Amino acid sequence: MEPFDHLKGKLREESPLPEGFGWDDMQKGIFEKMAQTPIPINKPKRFRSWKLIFFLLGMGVTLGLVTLFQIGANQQEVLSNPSKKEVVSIPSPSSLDKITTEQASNRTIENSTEQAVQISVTSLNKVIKANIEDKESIGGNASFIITKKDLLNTKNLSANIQAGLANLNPTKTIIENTPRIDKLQGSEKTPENQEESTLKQTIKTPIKKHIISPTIKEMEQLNSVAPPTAFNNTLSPLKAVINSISTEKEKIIWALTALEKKPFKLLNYLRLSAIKPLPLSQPLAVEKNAQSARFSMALGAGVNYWTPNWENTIISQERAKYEKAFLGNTYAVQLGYQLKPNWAISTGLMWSKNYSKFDYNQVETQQRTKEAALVEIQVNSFTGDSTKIYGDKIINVEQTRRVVHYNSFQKWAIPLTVKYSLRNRKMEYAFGLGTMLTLSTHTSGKTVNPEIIDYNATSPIYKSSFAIGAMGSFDLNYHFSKKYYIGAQLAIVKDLTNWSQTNETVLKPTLFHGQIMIGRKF
Amino acid sequence: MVSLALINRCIARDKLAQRQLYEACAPYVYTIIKNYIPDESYRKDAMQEAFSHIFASLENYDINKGQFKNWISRITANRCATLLKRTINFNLRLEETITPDTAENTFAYLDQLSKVEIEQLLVNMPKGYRTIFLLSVIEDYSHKEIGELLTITPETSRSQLFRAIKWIKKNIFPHSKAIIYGTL
Repeated sequence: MEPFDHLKGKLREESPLPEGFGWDDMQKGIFEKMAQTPIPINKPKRFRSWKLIFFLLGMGVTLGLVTLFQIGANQQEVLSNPSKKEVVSIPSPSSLDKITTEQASNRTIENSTEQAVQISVTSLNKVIKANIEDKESIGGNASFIITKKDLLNTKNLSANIQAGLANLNPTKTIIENTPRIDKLQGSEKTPENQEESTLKQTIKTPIKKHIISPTIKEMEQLNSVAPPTAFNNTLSPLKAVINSISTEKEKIIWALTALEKKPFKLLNYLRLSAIKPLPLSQPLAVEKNAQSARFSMALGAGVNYWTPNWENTIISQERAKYEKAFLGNTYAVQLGYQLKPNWAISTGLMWSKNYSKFDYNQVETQQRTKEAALVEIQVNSFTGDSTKIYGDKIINVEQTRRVVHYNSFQKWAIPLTVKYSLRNRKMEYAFGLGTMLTLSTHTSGKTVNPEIIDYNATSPIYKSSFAIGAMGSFDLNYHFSKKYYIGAQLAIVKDLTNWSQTNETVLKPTLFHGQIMIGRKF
Repeated sequence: MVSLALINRCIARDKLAQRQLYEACAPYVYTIIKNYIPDESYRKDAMQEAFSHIFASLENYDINKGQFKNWISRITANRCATLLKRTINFNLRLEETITPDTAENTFAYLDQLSKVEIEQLLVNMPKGYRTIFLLSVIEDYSHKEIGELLTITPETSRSQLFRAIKWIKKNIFPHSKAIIYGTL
């Protein structure tokens, strides 16, 4: 303190030792006290191990959760998510024939590969268009190309195929058409009573494992374990149809066309439902699009506001009286990871500056001496003369003291939230819950304690250590392209740690953040 | 003032070296104690306490961290504060009103005071104010350090210092009104 430098110098001037303070008089007492005094050891700076443990624990939990969800998501993807029906495997001619006829399979094995044809059912038209443009085959390394023209010309297929397709209603018409099928097929007959009951059982089979690409070998194993029963009999009309198709190319065209037709859709569904899950030799390729983008990164900027929530102590009440929250600013980088279609975790880094307005206004009354003031006038009633008497007079002076100052609290924070999102076309709504780890880096301002004091980095009254808070958020995003989106985020954070260094003033504020964000999915 | 060789000999419990060190430092230590403890009967005890800690802690003295004088000054202040802390009422809050005139002239007037006058001012100061004023202003302790030393909060230390300065502003002038106000 500069004003006291002179004082410091004077108080450090050595005084002569008074009598009785010589070594001979003192040594006995000193050594006696020394014997009682434990030798102080320079302790190394206390290592805040709990902070490191907390940090490592947090990191571990985060990494663990991400890994766990990643594994879960992979498994879910492989074992077919019912909501992800866009990619299913259509059996190659070989596998299709395995189900239908032995003869057909023997023929088609030669032209097929072990890799099953994968095609998007819901985006069938897109696939066809792609094939027109790319002129690529869709049968692995099959030797033919299917174009849109081919598919449009399916009407020109034989009348038998059309008739067979028209009659492929497994729930109603199979029994009625049995004679005709028998005629076509010759030896195979469908047991009438068994047909309906088996079909019902098959429908009840849980819908699982859609995305299965069994190899030919695996299909053989499957057939050996579960030989074709009445289920295969339901497909008996197909045999006639398939046998009537002369070339492999026509078979594929027919299959693609038939998939769009109602009865075949049901058959395809039944067939897939009846197949047991098999281990996949390789994971299926999932179409990479905006839906499958798991990572997201967003930049945001906005405002914040806070309610101090002073607890009920005398100093806290004084501070609450003079200190009011004020709008601040927030900037953030947000990283997201999609765990499931509706679930995501989000973290990032947030920088915020909170403000409060300190407005101190107090009236004090002081007594001051006024010199040479007119204190009395003496009037002579006889002569009418007046005499003025001047002197010192103590007067009360009212003094108003007003101090206005904007206090600031600079903070870095790491939010960690789990979000549940709902998507409606281009709009996305997400609700998040989690924690926020806050590090206060710089506070400065004025407050009452109970007199007005200044605080800053050198003489702080607030903690500069990590604080933890509970966080809730609501995000509203508009996806203007497959990858990019803009949005708004509202977040509320309730700090669970006292900002003050002491318990005399307990400050656990609630913070509100509102941000505009722009983001990209990866 | 004190050589490193002398310190090393004291660490080795050389009686002669301890005597030399005591004789070299005692006036300085006594000066500090005098400021903290106005009552002479307690000063001897405080002096013994301070030197017992100085001798016991010599091994921890690091020449790179500062002068020996400053080091013993901190130990002495530390011991004085520890001795005093049980007897201090840190909740003491005197009613003080100061006029703007006195506030403006306080620091100017402090420069004009002699050592005896300053010591007299400190003697009259309430114990809590004085201890924190000396620790903070003279020994440059932070409020956090004072808080740890006296088992009080840094905020209490800060408010006590504020009141101590206010007290000085109020009580400094009665000693020599003539200097400031002449024939007032």
